[in-house]
Amino acid sequence: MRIKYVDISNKTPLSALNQLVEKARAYDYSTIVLHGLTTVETLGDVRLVPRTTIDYKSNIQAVKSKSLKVFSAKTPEELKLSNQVLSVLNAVEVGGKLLSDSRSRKSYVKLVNVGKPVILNASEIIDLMLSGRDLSGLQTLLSLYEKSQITIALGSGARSLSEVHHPTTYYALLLELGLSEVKALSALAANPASILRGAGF
Amino acid sequence: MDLPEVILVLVASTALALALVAILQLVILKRRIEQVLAGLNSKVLKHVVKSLEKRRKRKNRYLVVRLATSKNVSLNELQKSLDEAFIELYGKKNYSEASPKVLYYSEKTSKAIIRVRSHRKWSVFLVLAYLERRDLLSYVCPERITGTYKKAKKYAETT
Repeated sequence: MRIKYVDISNKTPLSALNQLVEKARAYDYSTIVLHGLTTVETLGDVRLVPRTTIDYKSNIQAVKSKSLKVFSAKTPEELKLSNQVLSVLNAVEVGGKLLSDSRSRKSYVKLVNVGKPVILNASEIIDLMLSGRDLSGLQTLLSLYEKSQITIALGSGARSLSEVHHPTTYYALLLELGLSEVKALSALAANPASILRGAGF
Repeated sequence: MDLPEVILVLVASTALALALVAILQLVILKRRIEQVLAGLNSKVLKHVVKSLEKRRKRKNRYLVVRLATSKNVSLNELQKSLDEAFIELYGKKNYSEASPKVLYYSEKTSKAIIRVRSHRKWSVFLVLAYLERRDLLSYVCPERITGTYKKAKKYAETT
């Protein structure tokens, strides 16, 4: 059985859309959630889903479009999840200081209590690894995922075509970070698909 | 008391003394065994298993990868860039442990076979992704992991 992979977070510019679809087809991606898209499209065999990013300053009432609504937070202070925000969003994306700071544990407890799936960007993790930064925040998050206290979906987070990699590479990344094989595969295939289903796609 | 009776008493008392010593030694040995068993907790067992694993011979794995490059590269150039990237990411110690080697590269089918120690196979995929990120490779598609070079080459040449 062929596994259908979903890239839950992709920031490649729309000008390179055709090349992105070509690469996604070659890499066995069935769906890509893309920033900047307005409607759901299907190019070739690849389904493109629009994404709206919400942050703690956003006006929630203005977010009405049919897209995957993701709350993005880079620091513990930005992780303000009010009931109004929770009623709208489909997932929470964490990055920046939340991944590298070991004092983010309190914020992760908040994520566990909220019960929303968490999106991680592989591109950002690789950048942090290459710059030799401490990844203790990420390790805490992954240990919570290993204990099934939260759900994690890994997206490419690619800002250019060269940052889009094969799902096996992301699987290798998660294994290198210490996840078990089952959990790593779920983070790439089952969990992103379930987020999309939850959002009505 | 007759002489035979004296000898009998002496033999009996010696046997009794020997039996007592044997019982005492048995008790001491039992205590020691209990002490050793108490010391064998999960931490010690884990350490023993780890040291046994270290002694075990590492098997090789052969990774069949489809690569595309912006310019034509030879097998030696590919090996050189793989070595440099591996050392940059994981250091020289891990590089010598993994000893990745490009055994086969066909420009025609754009397939390569990379040999690596089994416990480091995922690191090689990350190194290839790193080369893709640096635009040294434009396309990296891991296709199969095999246990023998024969199988890997058969797969690389037929598909």
